[in-house]
Amino acid sequence: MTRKDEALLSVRHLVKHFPIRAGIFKRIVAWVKAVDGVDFDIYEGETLGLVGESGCGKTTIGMTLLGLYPPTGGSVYFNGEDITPYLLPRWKVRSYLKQTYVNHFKKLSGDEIEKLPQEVRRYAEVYFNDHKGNTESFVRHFTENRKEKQKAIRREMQIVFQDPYSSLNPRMRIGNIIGEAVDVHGLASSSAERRRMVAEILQKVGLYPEYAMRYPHEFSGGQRQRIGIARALILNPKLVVADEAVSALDVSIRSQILNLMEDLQREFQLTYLFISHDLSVIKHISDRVAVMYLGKIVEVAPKKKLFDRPLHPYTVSLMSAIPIPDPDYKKRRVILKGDVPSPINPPSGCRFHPRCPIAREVCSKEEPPLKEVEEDRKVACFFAGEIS
Amino acid sequence: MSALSEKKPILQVKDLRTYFYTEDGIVKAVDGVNFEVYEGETLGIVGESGCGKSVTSLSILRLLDEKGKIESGQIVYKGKNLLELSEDEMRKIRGNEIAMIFQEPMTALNPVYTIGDQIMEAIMLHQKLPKDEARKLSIEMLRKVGIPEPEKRVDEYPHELSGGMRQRAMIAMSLSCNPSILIADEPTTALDVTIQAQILELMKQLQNEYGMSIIMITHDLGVIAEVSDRVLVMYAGKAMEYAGVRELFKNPKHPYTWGLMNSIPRLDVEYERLNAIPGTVPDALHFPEGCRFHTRCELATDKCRVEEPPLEEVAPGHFSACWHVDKLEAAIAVQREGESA
Repeated sequence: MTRKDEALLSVRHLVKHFPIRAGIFKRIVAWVKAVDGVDFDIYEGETLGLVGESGCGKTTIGMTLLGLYPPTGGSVYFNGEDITPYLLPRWKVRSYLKQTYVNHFKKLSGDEIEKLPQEVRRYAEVYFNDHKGNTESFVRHFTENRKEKQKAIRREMQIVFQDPYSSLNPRMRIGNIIGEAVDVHGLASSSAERRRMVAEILQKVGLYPEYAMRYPHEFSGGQRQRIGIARALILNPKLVVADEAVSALDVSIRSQILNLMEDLQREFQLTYLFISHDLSVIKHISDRVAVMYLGKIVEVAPKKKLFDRPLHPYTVSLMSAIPIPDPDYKKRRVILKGDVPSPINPPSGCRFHPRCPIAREVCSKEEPPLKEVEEDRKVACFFAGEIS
Repeated sequence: MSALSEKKPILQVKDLRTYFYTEDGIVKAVDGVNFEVYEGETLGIVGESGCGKSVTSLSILRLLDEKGKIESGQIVYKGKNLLELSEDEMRKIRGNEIAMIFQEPMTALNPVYTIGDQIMEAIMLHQKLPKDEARKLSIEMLRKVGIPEPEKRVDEYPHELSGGMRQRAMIAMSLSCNPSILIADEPTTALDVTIQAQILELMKQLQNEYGMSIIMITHDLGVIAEVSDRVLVMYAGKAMEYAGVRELFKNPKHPYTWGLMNSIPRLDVEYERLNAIPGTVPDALHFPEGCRFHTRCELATDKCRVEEPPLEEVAPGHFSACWHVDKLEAAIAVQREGESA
């Protein structure tokens, strides 16, 4: 894995809240804080594993990055470019830009702007140099050709879904399911070329080109997941979000698909955001791992460091909870008490404190920040490393 | 496994064949399966989807739908063949002597009755207790399975409980009549790992307390290793291997078992590449001739394609249905040498 200094995808303070509506006027009565301030980077060519239990917000992150849900707050940078304006609905773009950049820049002196993080500083230059400090012109920079730019971003970021049964339209032939994206992006000049592209990608994922004429119900779960992967890869994207892509498959099939995804990553220089609840799968496929709990990232580290010595008490208990297929394997179990709390009303302070075996008073009052404890490794815990 | 032989089997399944007569043809979901469940012990049945593990458990309780038919075999429970009992006699066994918990507690619990009503129903039916005592016992059971504030929870509906709590309520219900056998069909598959650890721990603790036998059906070899005493590995309606849990994991004697173990990435081992079993599970309408695993087996020979291997004792207490146990042993030795080097 080659790692460049600049991240392919950077996520800053990403927030996604879903409203709960009730009553005859459908008033908003509460918010589900699915993702509540998340930061991470994915470097080119690597696989970032995102692991957590159901309801922790890992799927929401994937969907938000692809623009399938508009973000409530925060920024997403792809290839160094702020793509948040294209993920947001049009009417929110202006206030987003003002809040994130313009208001900020106006207050800063030249020296202070120099010290801004690179991704933000870049827009300071665009604002002052290209647009001469004219806000309207700066906003237009993002709203002009919006549709084309959105399309270009979507071509670079694709997703493979969990359920290979519900994610393929049962009334479409495989060739059309995979070829649809080619049509949308106008990548084939003739139907013969489109056929050739579909046939080629089918072979790449280990299926026969003849399958293009068949319907989804004619395939097994593993084959359908291959079709889902082919659909994502035909556009030659840079980033693929795999959302529980192997969770619905039997173990013997699961390892086939994991091997296939690794082969394809090498061949097409793909970057993966691999979302899963299964730590053993995450350990196998990831280069770095981010652990989520209740809308927050609690620990992010290179795989080896994380699995050799987990530092956050939640990571520790998650690892010790996995049943190991060896009856003689002796391990120290940290069995957590209680259930995951509701993301509507998360606990105060550290969100893990009601279930944490080492929680102290400060944990219920103050929220621990996600901070670097070693090189390349961040943990959000006041007492990181106390149990491991 | 010497301790095993001293115990007596509480349930014996002999040559069970359960077929489904569908519009497309006959599905031989379970096709000649033998096993024993010993008192106070856990039998794990492991296999992938469609291997017949759930149908086996439903056959024991005679809970098949009208398309399914038990063709032949015996299910001997405490000396009685369950397949010869009348429906009335069977009803006294179900839930009372052999209880079952299911994968998805939300669909197994009735959404329009409270948890308490549903537990009390079983208690009043089987133990003939009056309502107030049944309620007291229900609360007691809920406390036993670790549900906080059982006096309050007893009047709640299933949707008010979390997934883990629902599974606890299901366990409370199934144990309320003190059954001798508990069949658990993928009881933790729908749960998160931290909750799964809680439920498995609870089941072990209750087994010690009540001394019941458990049939644990799962696709997860990790769960099997954790809770089972004996393991039955199923593939395409057939038993492939049957052995004590330590023996099975240490010396697998069937290529399918070995393949399954290899395809799970273990947390304590580094892999360059996962060992996958090639191909897919065969279609239940057209199982292959000969050994049903031969289409995916690397050791398969012409013999495997024609002749079906019987389940034979290949080591004391260790049964395998494979013609090439010796070839497999050699292959395993080679791989392990490579791993340790």
